Amino acid sequence: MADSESPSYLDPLAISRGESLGILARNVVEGYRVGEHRSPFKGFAIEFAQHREYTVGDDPRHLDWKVLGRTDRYYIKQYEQDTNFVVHLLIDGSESMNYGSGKVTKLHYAKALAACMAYLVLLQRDAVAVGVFDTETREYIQRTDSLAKIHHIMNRLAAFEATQQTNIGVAMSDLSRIAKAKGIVIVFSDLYDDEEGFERGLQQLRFIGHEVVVFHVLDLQEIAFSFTGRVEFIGLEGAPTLETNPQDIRKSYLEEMNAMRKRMQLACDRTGSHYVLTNTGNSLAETLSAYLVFRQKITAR
Amino acid sequence: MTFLNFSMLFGLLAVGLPVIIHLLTKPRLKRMKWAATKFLLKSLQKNRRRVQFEDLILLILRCLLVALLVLLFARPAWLVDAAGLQVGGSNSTVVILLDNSQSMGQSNGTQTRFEQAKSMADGILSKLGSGSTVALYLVSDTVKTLIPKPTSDIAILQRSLAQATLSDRSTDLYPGLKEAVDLLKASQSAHRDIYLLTDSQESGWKQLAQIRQLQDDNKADITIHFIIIGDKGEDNLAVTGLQMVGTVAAMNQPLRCSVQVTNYGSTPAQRVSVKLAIDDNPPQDEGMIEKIDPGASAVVNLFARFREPGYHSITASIPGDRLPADNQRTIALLVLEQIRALVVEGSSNPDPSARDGFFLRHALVPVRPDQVDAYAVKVTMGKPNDVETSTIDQYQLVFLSNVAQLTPLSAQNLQRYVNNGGALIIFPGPATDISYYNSSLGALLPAQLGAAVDAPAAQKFLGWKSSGYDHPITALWSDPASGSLGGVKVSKYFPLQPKTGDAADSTRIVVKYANGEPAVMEQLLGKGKVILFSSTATTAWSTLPIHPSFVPLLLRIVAYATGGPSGKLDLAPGQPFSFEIDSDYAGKELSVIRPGDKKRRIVGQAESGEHSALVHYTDTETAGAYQLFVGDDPKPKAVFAVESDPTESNLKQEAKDQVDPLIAAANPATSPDGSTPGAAKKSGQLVPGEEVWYPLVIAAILLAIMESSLAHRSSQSK
Repeated sequence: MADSESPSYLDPLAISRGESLGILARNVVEGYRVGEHRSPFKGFAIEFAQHREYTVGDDPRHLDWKVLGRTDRYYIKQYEQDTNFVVHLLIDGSESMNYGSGKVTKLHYAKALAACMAYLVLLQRDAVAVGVFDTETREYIQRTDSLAKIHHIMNRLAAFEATQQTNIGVAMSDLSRIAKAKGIVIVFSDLYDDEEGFERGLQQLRFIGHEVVVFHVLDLQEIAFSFTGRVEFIGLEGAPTLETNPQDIRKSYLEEMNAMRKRMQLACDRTGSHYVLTNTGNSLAETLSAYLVFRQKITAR
Repeated sequence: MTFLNFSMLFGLLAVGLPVIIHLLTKPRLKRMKWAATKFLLKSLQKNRRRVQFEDLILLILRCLLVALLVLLFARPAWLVDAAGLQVGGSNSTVVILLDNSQSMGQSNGTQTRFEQAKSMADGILSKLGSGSTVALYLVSDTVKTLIPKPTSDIAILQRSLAQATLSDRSTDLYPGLKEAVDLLKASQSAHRDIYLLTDSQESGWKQLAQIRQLQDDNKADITIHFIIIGDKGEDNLAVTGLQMVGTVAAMNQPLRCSVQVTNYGSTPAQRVSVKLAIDDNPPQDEGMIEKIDPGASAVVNLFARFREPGYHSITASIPGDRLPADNQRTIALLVLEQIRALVVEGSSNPDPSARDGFFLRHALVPVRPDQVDAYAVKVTMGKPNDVETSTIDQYQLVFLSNVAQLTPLSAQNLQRYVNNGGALIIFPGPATDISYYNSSLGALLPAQLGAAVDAPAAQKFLGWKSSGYDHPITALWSDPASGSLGGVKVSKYFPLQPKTGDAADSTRIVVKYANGEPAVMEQLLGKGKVILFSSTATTAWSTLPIHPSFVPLLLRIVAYATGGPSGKLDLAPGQPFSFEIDSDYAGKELSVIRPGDKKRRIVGQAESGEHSALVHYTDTETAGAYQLFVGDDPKPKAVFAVESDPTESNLKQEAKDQVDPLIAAANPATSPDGSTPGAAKKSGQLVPGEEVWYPLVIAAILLAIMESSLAHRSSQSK
């Protein structure tokens, strides 16, 4: 079953657009193998970076003999070393993510988006780790840089079903304990949760040095709330059932929703994280390419 | 407050309609799982009270709207004291009848009665409540509707009122009142009023009994207000008659006209100057009547002389007084250059005095031998063969006296001559072959000639009837003052057997015998006329030739036969005028100079008829001379005159004891004797008054606006 579901998460259009854009870390990250990402550590490998004067303790192998012969001065040659990075994909698997006004639920959308991301990361020989959480981390797939593992990742994602409430703060704290090396943490969630815990989690991840990207996954109707007639809303995650005329409270609802989105964005801004509003009404390709274009722009700064 | 349509109040049950509609149309509940419940919860908590309040207000507004509509259909009205009920409140239907007869032109020195009536009508319009509707009629002896259906457009009413004009018609108030009552009967209005503004001239109440009946029959629904303009009729001196006397109108021929002036005032009129003028020229003749007693008439004879042939008008006038319209009177006439008559004698006799045309010849030219050449009528004596040729066309009149037979050619020629406008006067005699006449001239004759009979043996003579004539030729002798035809006796005559069927329509008896048999008959044929006597133009069988009336009778025949288009030049106000002209004029522009006007006014065009063109003119409300022109011809093709009814000059008002009860019935509070007339509603009784629809409509509109704006607001997202 997992095998049969896995292709549905990889949107060909999203992947092809993603490939052309590539995953570029905004920050220079610390890597454990040579990849496409520059390492902050100047080494002695392939690409020359600069000279510096020799000091005691330096390996004499790195002395630039040509400079020594011409100027009789001791200079050490420094090289720039490329490094790879780890992308942590953290998916909200709470019950509220099960809502979808169309065929696609938010959880499904988040899983697909995460799968595409994972595929792209693996494709450029970087490492990826995937976690699904609700009140705590339910699924965690250790980091891997093998493209062959993508099917395994998708099978594990497909097998997960959302039933519990959310505690995103706990999930982010858990991750900050597990992922000590700096990398990119991408969170997919509707953020219907304790807002303080969410910001605390962001702070912890940023403190370690992770770059954090928050995909705020919302359904089209949650954003537009264009219902008509009389509707009985059955609350998810233990929320009460409400009967009302949506048009009577639409304006007020949208105010509340927009205020929440603004608060989340501010929390991201305060912690130096990226906030990406993700409407499940848009195609995966559209969402992914929009984000990657944005990312390319800010990386080029 | 009461309701004129009480049963409609059951409609108040419909107030529950909005609730029922709400329940029936309650939208089906949709169920769905929802993630962002906490925002919904917050919004609901914030809006629940407001939404419930708005829904409640909306429901109340809708229920109120339904209730208001039901109330409107139930026609609520205020209850008012019947005695204090004032007509002309809002939602009244009113008909204003404005008397525009000639007598309304009498002035009090500053304003005419008609101007006063218009001002009062304007005052009524300004006092009417909003929502009232008014129709406006002009009444005289006819009813002219200015605003036929009641309208609430005050501007149109005032404009129509301002443009209303006097006529020279006589008065009859009943037809206008009847028409107004019939109009109001169809109205559903709570108040239905008729305002009649009149000078209350005596002649206008000729149907007083019917007016009283009309008021009684409709007193429950319709109030008739009689508004009398002026306390009493003004003194008035009027020209009440003008006619030509015993002669024919020919060029350069003195024409004697009799002018009658009547004093309708309360004091004798002294030294009344009467003038006679032709067309628009200065007066030609003037006479003086020394004294006319109150209620009496006096006649003065004046002469007119025409310098040109054609159509002319003669106007007799007296000095101005409070009613200018009747200070002059106009008649129209056709003046011929010369009148030629052919007298055909059946037999020739050497003794001139024994000839068949002897008396005719002398009676047609009743002047001294030295004046014959100057006289307008020229007589030619002829034989039966003379009518064979077209030379007879030069004669206006052809007399046949004792002619036995005519040749077939003569008969045909005579037929053509009459059809073209000639006048044929036949006096049979002993030689007359009645079988020939009845067979060969039957179409020409107004009657068949019976075999000659003698007068009844006991009386020896059969006399003519002395009075009761209505034919223009003999109407003069209906007045005994003009003499009598009863002195004409015949010893033998041909009984005239009038035609029957359609042929009888064009025939008319001119003179009757005392036994009722026709003595003289006339037939209109084509454009001409045939006059058939039953006895001789000589003294052989009849005393007519030696009777004093013979000359005037012949002159009247001449005048009648040559007096223009069928003698219809003098009309009553409003009577249409029409006459035939040459077919060449068909389609040409028809213009008129009306009384008092100087310039022509184009009024249409000459219509084409079967053998000729027809000129038709209908706007004849004003008395005076009308000149009709066809095409560019500078001379009028016809002149006709409109004469008002002399009775209209009597400005005496109807007796107060006759009119006051009618006025009191409409205004119980002003009852002259202080008692409440039967037609009046009793004081203290509450009756439906003004309908209260206006504020309800405004309230309903406001509610509808509020409801729709609130519903729109509710449908918007909150």
